[in-house]
Amino acid sequence: MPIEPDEVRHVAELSRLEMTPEEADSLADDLQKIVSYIDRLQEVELGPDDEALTYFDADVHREDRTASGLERADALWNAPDADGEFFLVPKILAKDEE
Amino acid sequence: MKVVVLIGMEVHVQLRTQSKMFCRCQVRFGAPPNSLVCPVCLGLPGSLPVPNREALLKALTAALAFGCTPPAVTKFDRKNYYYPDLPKGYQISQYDQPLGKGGTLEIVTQEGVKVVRLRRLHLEEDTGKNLHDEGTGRSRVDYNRAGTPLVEIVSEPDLASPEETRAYLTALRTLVQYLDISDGNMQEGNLRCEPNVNLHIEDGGKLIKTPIIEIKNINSVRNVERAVRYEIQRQIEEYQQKGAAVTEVERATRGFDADKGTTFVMRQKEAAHDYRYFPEPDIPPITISAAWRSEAQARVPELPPARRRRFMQEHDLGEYDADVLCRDHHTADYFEAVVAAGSAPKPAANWILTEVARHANERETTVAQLGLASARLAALIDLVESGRIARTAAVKKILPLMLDSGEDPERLMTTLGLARLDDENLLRAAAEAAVKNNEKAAADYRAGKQKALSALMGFVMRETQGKANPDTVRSILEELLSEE
Amino acid sequence: MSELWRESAVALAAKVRAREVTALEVSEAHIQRTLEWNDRLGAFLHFEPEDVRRQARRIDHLIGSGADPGVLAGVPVGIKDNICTKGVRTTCASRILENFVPPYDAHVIERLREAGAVLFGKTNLDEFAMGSSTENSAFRPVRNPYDLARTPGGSSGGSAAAVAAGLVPLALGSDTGGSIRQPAALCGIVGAKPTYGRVSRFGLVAFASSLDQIGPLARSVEDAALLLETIAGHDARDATSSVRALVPLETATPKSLRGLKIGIPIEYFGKGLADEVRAAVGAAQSTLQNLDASVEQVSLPLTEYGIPVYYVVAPSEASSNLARYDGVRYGMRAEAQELKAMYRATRGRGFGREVKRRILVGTFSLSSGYYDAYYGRAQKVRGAMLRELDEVFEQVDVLLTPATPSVAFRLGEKTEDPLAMYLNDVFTVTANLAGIPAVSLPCGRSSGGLPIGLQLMGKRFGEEELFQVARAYEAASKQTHVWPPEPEGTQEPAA
Repeated sequence: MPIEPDEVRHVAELSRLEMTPEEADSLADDLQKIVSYIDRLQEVELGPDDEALTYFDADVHREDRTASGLERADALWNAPDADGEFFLVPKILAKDEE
Repeated sequence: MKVVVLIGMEVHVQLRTQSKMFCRCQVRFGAPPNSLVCPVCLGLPGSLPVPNREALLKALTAALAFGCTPPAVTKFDRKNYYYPDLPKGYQISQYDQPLGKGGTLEIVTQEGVKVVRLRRLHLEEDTGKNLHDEGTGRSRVDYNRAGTPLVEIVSEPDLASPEETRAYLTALRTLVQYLDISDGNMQEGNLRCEPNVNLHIEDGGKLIKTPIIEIKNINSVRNVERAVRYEIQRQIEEYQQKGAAVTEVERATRGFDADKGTTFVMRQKEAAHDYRYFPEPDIPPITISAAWRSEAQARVPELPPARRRRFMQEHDLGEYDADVLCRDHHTADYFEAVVAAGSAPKPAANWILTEVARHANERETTVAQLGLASARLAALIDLVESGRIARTAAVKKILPLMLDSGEDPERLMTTLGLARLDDENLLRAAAEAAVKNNEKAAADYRAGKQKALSALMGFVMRETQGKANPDTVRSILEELLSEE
Repeated sequence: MSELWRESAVALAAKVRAREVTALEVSEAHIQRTLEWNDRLGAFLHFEPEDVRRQARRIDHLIGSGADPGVLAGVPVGIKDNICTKGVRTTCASRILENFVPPYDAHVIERLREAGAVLFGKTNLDEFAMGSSTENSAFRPVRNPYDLARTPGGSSGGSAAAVAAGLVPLALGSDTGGSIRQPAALCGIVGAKPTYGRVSRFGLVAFASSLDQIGPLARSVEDAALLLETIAGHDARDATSSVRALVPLETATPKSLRGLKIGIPIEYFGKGLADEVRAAVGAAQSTLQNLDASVEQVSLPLTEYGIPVYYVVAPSEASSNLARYDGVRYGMRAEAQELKAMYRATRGRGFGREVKRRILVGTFSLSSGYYDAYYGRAQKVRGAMLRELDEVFEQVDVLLTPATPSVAFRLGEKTEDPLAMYLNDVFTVTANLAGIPAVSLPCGRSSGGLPIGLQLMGKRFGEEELFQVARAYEAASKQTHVWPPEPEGTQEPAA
């Protein structure tokens, strides 16, 4: 399936990835090659039972009991920008919201 | 021009659990920022979610109470989008196998009962909170709320007016409180609603559908009604300005401004959201076992519609009174306690919904929390109903004192000398004085003017400071005036 | 210089526990070896000798006090740098996490500490474990100890090179599509990917959640078993972690494999398989037959779709798993005036090319209009592959295949062609897609002296049987680890 440049831009936008024009072009080429390759999946004949199987063998829920988490200083330790109480982020424009 | 209003509701209800949905951090409102966080709810690399069984059970209880069909197997999905309050870059939610599909919610308005269809009910995690700093333009982020269990309940667009929208929200809040799954407090954000409003306008043989507008920032039951009312009017006006071109206006999200009572554009919807939902690989699908179902079913008490009908049948109450009593299950419980203590149901309902409710409102509390023992209220109602005290005296004098002191109403009545005068001799003397001093009224009555009796009654009541039993006075007066 | 670095983990732990040597002496030998080799190999990203000594002294102190120091007493273990270590930088070999210091330990790290292991350092990898050559490390590539111009494989290339060259006797890797087994094969050591759910993923920085497993790299099957036993077991913090207990793997080496049925899937021996690899795996087959195992050909026709399925499922999950690197709570932030620009700049500059490529592929596969044709379809084909494999495992107990199509390739050889690089995983992805356990182990050397690996795949939760076969083969074939040549200027020690 051919992938239009618009499609690549859209996917990059959804992924929040900034790219130089050269990088975008070359990644578009890569994406095209990879998608052409994975397109082979379309040729597999599937039966009606062929669903994504789950093979888990697990206990999947827990009791509603609390445990102490991180000290605030530890929670904020890795933050690129924080004021001792909050994480700080740059101005949010209306169009940033999804 | 004929306008049909279509309103669908999306309501988020925070479940009351000890710990968060996918980690063991405490759920608590009002804690210092970023003090209830751990690697999981901060989305640190390597952390993994483990679902909270109690949250699953509470959500399942809600699904059963709404009459939804729970699936044999439920699962979680990731909803991918970027926003600072969303720690992982995705929200763990439910997409195609929610805990409940279908279901209904009964609402009551002045016009009567209406059954609103539900689309779905699903479980998800709450986000953190962004606080916009007007000064610097930057935002501060607090993740205490991130990971709180939420149930989202989506209705079909069956609501047709602001009143119905309000009634829907009230009924939903009542239900979650009955189920004891949430505090349902809108101010604290336990309950958040987003009405979706649009109009189908028939004009000159054409059907015009206005774009669907979602309204956010609604923080009270009253404001949902205001917001929807404003929005309907705004869409009508927009149609009147733009005509059929109104259909080209983009779908948008508008915020409600409670001070101005208006809605404003928050953002235009992007072409289409592409949330890239896919099954959450960190959480295996969950089988809803028969045991789970029955455990959840056992938690469903008598629900508001059933209770309302029972009150109407057993106690002969009107629909509206029964509904108002049942809106708060504590109030409904209180009503039943007053009746059990010997009060007749109709006066009990009437007292609770008027006099007692007024005091509760004044003190910013609820009927049940007013501290008025149900047996005491029953005793007071009995004094009035048996004619031993005037209703006015009971309302104005006894009830406030009972609330302050917790005293027995009969003792208060005696102490204050508010008991009705029923002494035959004393009342006869007063009646005779009345006839003597109001000759014209007496003559009028005798001439057939029934109404003239009230002037004579009023005289006796004044003479006795309102304590005379009006029935006794009336019969004495009638006797006196017929004698001559 | 002490030669303790030559010892196996089992031997070192026994000596430390018996007080024949101190944990500090063991660590010191490995520290010296690492100081000598690491610049050349690039195996460790973070390695603090003083911290290593501190841990060793603590073990010695524990032994001195009479307490049980644990089964891995004093054994240095390399930790792939996508496994969280409290207070120690965990970078995933990415710029975006260059300064990230986790406030918590992964489950496997807790297990290692309890077992008395010495956390020796953080090993290099392809950025976020995405790659098959460790050339995608944002910091530096890893070199193959047997030929410094070649790759050690990847993504656990740092762990494999460190173990092969004796910098540590044991290392942890993670395997999403072959990232333990392929570098183990290219470095001539043993690497195991456990059954999905066998080892807790709590604290493993997620690449593809439904495929990732942590596993051991070692110079012998016995050592690999010891490390796997230490880290396996249920963990309530990982909802996909199994409650099944791992049967102890430290059993005696079987002398005979009578009754064992080994399947040879024909699809793994087609064109594209290097002759030397084909010959070495053929010899391994004969060895196993000589141990009285029965060998039969089986067919897994969907094998050829393994790579396409993998390169939809893994990037899709990765695109979501890597969304959290947004410059808000941790990691790198590229400053910008407004939020969205900050996101784009941070992620655009923080991620390397291969990571971006996979995020794009994954986002595409999940996006509206393409989901059914790509992600949805890949999951269905995955289901069909699983069923096909289950049927084959009704006929045979274990599958024998090559681990890789060829020996170690040259650095730079495949970096320009992502598809050629992806095909390195052609024999290994099936085990991840199906969640079954698989081991790769040395089965010979090429004419140029480069290691060749074979792969054994077992039934889900069938590690016990799998390890028995591996040990029997190892003992009978004498195909074991060979020390790499010493750097120039030093005398090559006698083997």
